[in-house]
Amino acid sequence: MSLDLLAPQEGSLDKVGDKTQLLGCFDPQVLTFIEALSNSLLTSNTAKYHPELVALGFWLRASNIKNMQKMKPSGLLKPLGWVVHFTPANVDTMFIYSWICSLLMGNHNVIRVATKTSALKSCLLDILKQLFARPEFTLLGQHNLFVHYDKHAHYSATLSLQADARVIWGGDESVNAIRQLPCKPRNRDISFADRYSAALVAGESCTQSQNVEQLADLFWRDTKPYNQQACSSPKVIFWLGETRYLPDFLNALDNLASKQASSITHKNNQLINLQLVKSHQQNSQTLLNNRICALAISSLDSQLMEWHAGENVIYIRQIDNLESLQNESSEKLQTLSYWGIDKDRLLKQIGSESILGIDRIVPLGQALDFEPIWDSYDLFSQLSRTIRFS
Amino acid sequence: MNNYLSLFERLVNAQVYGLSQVEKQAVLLPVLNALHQHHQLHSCEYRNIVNQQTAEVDNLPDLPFLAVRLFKQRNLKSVPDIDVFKVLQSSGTTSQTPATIYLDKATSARQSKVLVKILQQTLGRQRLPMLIIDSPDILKKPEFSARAAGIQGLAFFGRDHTYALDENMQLNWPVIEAFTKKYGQQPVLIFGFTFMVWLYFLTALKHSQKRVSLPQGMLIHSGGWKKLVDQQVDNATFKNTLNELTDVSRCYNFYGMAEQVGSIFVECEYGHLHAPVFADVIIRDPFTLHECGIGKQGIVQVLSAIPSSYPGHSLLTEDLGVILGIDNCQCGQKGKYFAIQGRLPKTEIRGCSDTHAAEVL
Repeated sequence: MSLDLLAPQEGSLDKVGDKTQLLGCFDPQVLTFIEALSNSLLTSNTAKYHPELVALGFWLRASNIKNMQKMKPSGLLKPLGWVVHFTPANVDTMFIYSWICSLLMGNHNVIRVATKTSALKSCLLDILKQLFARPEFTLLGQHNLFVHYDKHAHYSATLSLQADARVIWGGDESVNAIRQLPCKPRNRDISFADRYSAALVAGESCTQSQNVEQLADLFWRDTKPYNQQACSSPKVIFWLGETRYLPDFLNALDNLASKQASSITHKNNQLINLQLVKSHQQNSQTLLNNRICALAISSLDSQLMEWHAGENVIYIRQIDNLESLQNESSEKLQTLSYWGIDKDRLLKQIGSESILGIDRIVPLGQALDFEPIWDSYDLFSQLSRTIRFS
Repeated sequence: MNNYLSLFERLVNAQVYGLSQVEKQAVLLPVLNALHQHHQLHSCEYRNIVNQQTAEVDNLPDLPFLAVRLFKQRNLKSVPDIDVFKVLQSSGTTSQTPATIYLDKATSARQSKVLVKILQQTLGRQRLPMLIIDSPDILKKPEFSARAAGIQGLAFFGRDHTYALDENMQLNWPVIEAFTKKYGQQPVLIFGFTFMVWLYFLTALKHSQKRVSLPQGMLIHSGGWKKLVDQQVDNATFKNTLNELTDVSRCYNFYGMAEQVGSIFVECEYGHLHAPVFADVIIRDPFTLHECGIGKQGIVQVLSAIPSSYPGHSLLTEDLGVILGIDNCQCGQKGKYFAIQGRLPKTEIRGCSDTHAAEVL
C-alpha cells in the first residue's frame, strides 16, 4: 500500500524531517504564501462554486491574519518541528485552518487527507499544487506535504513516531485509534473529537417578522455549509422564553433551505432521525417537516446527538430561564452561538455556574468562523514552544 | 386483537390476486387500521412515533410508516418478552448492523400461512422435488439468519430437499447429477437467492462448462439485484442464461424482506411484481415522501397484514421502484403491479444474498 502525494507535485518525507531549516513564527515567506492562497481561492473559477472555499479565502486575507497575529503568545517562540495532521472525512476544509495555524508557527507539516474525495477537495488541492509549483513557494512545498494513504497502511504509525505534534480530527473512534499509536515522549496531541453545537435564541427578542428573518438568515449561515455536519454547526436551538415567533422563524428558515438543491436521500435520512428520536422520547413533537425538520424535544441526551446526521434536522429545546442552560449542557457541547440576548447577561450566567462543555460562545452567524483557539486548544501556543528567558 | 384476527380471516378467504384495488383496499385497510391501533397499545416506541397521527385512516397511503432502518437501531416489539418465540436477524456482517425482528407464535404462523397462500398461486398445491441453490450448512449456524428463514419457509413447498452447493459454496456435482437423473423428466422446484443462483450456480456451471437439464423445472428466487446490476445482468439476461444452462423456462423472482416475512410480491409471467391481497406497495417521492403517480420512480413503501408481534405493518424501505399499473396487467391478476429499480444511494447493502456478495467480491 503506497503513499500518494496530493500536493506539491514532488516531495519526500525526508525533507519534511529536516528540521535544520525551520522558519520563525509568522515568517514573511509564510505570510506571502497565505496571501497568495487567499487570492487564488477568491479569484479561482472553480473555487467560487464552493462557499466553504470562498469563506476560507476570506479567512486567509492578510488583514485577518494580521488580527490573528495579536493572539500569538508573547515571549520568544520557536516552532515545534514536525506536525502531522489527520483530517476528517465529513468536513472538507476544516483541516486547512489547523494546518495554517501550524504553518504560521513555522512548523513542517504532513497532512493526511481522508479517503472520501469531493469536488471541493480536488479544487483545493489543485490550487495548492499550483502555488507550490511557483519558484518562490517551492521550498515551502517541500515542508508541507498533503498525502493520502489507505487507513490500513502503516503510515499513520510511521508518521506518529516522527511527529512532534499530532493534530487529530475525527470521530471519537478515529481519534482514539490514532492516539494508541506510539509517539515521541514529548509529542503533543491535539484531538478534535466528536462535538456538537447549539444556538441560544431569546424568544422575547423576536418582535416582528423582519427580525425573525434576520434570525433565520444567521442560523442558516451557520447550518448550510458542510451539510450541518461540522462540529460547530448548530444542531440544537435552546429557545429561551416566548415562543410566539418560533413558527415564523422555522418557516423563514425552511424558505431559505428550499432554495437549495436537495439530495435523494435527504428526506429519508430526516425520517430516520425523527423517528429514532420520537421512539426514544415520549413528548417529542414535530414542529415542521418539510425541507427543514424541526423537532421539539423534552430533554437532550447523548443518544439524541448520536442520531443527528445533519440534513437540516433541528432539535428545539424550549427553556424558561437562562439557568436551565447548565442542565442542558454536556462535555460534548462545543460552540454556543447566541442571538437576542445581552452579552453581559450571558457572560455572567456562564461565568457563575459550574458547567460542562461549551468551549466557545459567539454571536449567531459566526459559529463556523475558525479561530486559533479552537475546542479550547490555543493552537498557536500548542504548536510552538516558548523559550522562558530571564 | 380479536377484531384484527377476524378481519385478517377475511383476507385469508379472499382471492389472492382476484380483487380490484378498490375491493382490496376495502378488506386490507381495516386490518392495517386495526394493526395501527394494536401497535399503539403494545409498543411504546410505535406509540411515541405516531403520537401526532393516532387515528384510523380512510386510505392506505394515509397510514403512518416507519423507516425500515429503525429495526436496526431499536428493539421494536408489541409482545411481552415471554411471548417472543423466534428472533429473526436480517443479513448482517461485521460492518452492518442487522435488523432484529421479534416474532411470537401467532405472527410466525401467519407468515407461513400467507406465504403458502401466495406461492400456491404460482407453484400449485403439489409438493415437488426441490433443489436448493445453497449450502446445507446455512441452517446449522446458531443465529437464525434471514437466509436460513427464507430457505425454511420455501422448503415447505418441496420434498426430497437437495442442496446444490457444498460447504465451500462450490457446485456439489454428484448431488446435482443424482437429482437431475432422478427427476429430470418431471416438474421440480428450484429455489435460491438471486445473487447466489447467478454466481454459485449459473456462473459456476458456465465456468466448468457443464449444464443440467430440468425442462419442467421452475425457479423461484429472491434477494437483492444490486450486484447483478453492477455486472450488468438484468432480469432478461438472468432468465436467458438460466434457460441456456438448465432448460428451465419458468422463472419467478419475488420481492420480500426480513422485516415483512410472508407477504411477498411475486413476479407474473410478464415479469411484473404483484401485490397480493395481504400486502400492498406505495411509491413515494424521495424529495417529499408524498405518494407518486403510476410510472414515476420513488421510494418503496410496503404494507403487510401479518405482523402483530412487532410494528412492521407499514414500512418505508430504502428501495427504489415504480408502479407499472393497477388492475390491468396482461396476466389478468388484479391490484397493483410494479418493478424494483434499485436502492437509495449510500445506504447499507441489504438482502441476504447481497451481504454475501459484499463478502465475496
